[in-house]
Amino acid sequence: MSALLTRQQCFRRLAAYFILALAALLVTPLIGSETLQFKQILNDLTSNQPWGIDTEIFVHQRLPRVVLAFLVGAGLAVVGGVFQVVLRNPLAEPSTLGITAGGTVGAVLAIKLQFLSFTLGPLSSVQVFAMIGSGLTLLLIYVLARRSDGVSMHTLLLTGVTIGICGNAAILFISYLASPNMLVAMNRWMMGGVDVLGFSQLGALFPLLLPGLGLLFILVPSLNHLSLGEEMAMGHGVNVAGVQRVAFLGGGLIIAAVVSLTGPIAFVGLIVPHILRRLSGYDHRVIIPASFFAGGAFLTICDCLARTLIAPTEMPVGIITAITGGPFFIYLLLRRKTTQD
Amino acid sequence: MNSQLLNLEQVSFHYPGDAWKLSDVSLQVRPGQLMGIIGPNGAGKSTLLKIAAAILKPSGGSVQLDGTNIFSLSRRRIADQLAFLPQNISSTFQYSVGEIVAMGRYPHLKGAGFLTAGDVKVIDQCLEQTETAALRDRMLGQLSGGQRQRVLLASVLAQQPRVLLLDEPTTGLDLYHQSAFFDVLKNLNNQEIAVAVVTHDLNLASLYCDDLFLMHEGRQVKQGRPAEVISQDVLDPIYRHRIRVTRDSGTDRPIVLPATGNSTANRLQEDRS
Repeated sequence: MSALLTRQQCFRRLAAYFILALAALLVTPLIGSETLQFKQILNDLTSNQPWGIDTEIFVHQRLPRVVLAFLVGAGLAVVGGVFQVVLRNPLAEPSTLGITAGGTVGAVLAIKLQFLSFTLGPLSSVQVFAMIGSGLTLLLIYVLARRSDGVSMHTLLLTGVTIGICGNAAILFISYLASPNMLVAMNRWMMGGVDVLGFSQLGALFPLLLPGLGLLFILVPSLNHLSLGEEMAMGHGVNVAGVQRVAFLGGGLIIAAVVSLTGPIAFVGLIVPHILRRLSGYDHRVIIPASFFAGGAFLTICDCLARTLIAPTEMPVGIITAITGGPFFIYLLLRRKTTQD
Repeated sequence: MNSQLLNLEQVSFHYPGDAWKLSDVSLQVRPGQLMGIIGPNGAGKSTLLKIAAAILKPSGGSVQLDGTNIFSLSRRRIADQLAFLPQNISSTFQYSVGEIVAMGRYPHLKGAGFLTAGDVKVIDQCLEQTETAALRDRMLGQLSGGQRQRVLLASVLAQQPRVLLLDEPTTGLDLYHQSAFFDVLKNLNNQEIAVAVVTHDLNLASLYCDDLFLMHEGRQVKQGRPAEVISQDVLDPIYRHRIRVTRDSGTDRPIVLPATGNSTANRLQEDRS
């Protein structure tokens, strides 16, 4: 790249990822253990006739699930892309700061304490506990890493990793005390999944996800500068302390929303931004919006594979993300190495 | 318009938990002036420069940028007028030279930060000025030390600053690249840019700078023309008799050589007697 991209170049690059996302959103709801007839669904939706079984499945099961998979993938990839820049660590991902582990502790605790089982609107007690766990962890990390002139990224990273380790120990302890039935439920939750029941559960994602995404997208013009270090970024005119605070808050909100609804889904936030950087360069005004589209498309396609590969049984989507994303990422690394050699 | 573009008055600073402190340092830089900030390790040169760039906030004193308290300005407003090149820049991701230089336009960009034709023109000028236009498509990590420093200089010049602060920009460069770098700085004087550069190289400072600001152990020792600051009397106590000041016949400016063990011993003997 001879210079930062112009508006037209940015939009041209994003258009490809937008089309990919659109294609994934349109095609994957039709695919599953039951292949749905697009024509019949279209007829049902445009007429006043009672809906057929295909349309019922499409609207009430597939569509919310596909939209959830898309938003979760999009959110995780955006968080990963931003954290990798702000923490100046290419291995950073949504689970790096321990918020995921905090949410998981909440979820397994709710499964263990079944006598406390309740529902809050569309959310189950497991999801509510996961949200509380994520929120408390977010608060704890912020309090520990806060300093007079912003947030210490170094402390944030160390605190996050430590809390993650402590969280995993707590998960093991709670699992140790759990009955076999509870263990199965805990394991299944920790594998992550986007199988929601209708649009009402999906709606519970928005109060945290949308402000979180909004906050992270505000940061996009500043992110390239942070790659050069805090002092250089400040010299260029970036309010580094403000960017760090907003990144932490925005990322935390997205992670809390996602973990509470779907459980931990690994790999998306790590590899999607890196794959995009390999394909489209390092201008984060492209990479972050592209992460939204490509991350969404990636998890949507992975979920489609998860529900079709061993149909009528389903696989946890986290397994598919690792199986498909990992080798592709290694292929890109090797291809670049060969080109450079 | 203030005659002193950058004015530090009685500035003090200390790092938490550290006994070292910067005490009551005052520094002024005017348009078109190339000011060299010199002194041994631990003198406080880089700390002073970071305070001048509003990277660090002093515990006492004031920093005025064109008559305005610099800490009352937003970072973008500061960067609009003042550029700062820190030491040891490393990039997490591989950016091209063109991208790095374009990043310098940040304080002038609106919204999502897309470049206009005017911005591209400024970037081209900065690449030409620092003789890095041919490197435009190369990655920063693939460049030599000299090329890299010139590219980073181009990036801060793209801010079109009125004040330019550089922290040891020629450390690790060979003699050719050192003098080439300072030639670029010298040319900035003609554009009425106020430049302050921290350097350990007393000879470069003497040959190129209009004025020198000598620091030692967190205090200012002397400020003046190179001939006034680079003298045996002034430098001996600071560099502990380990230097010998002589004169460059070509420029008639003082230059500094490291003193060998014997000559140091002789001078110490002379001092005692």
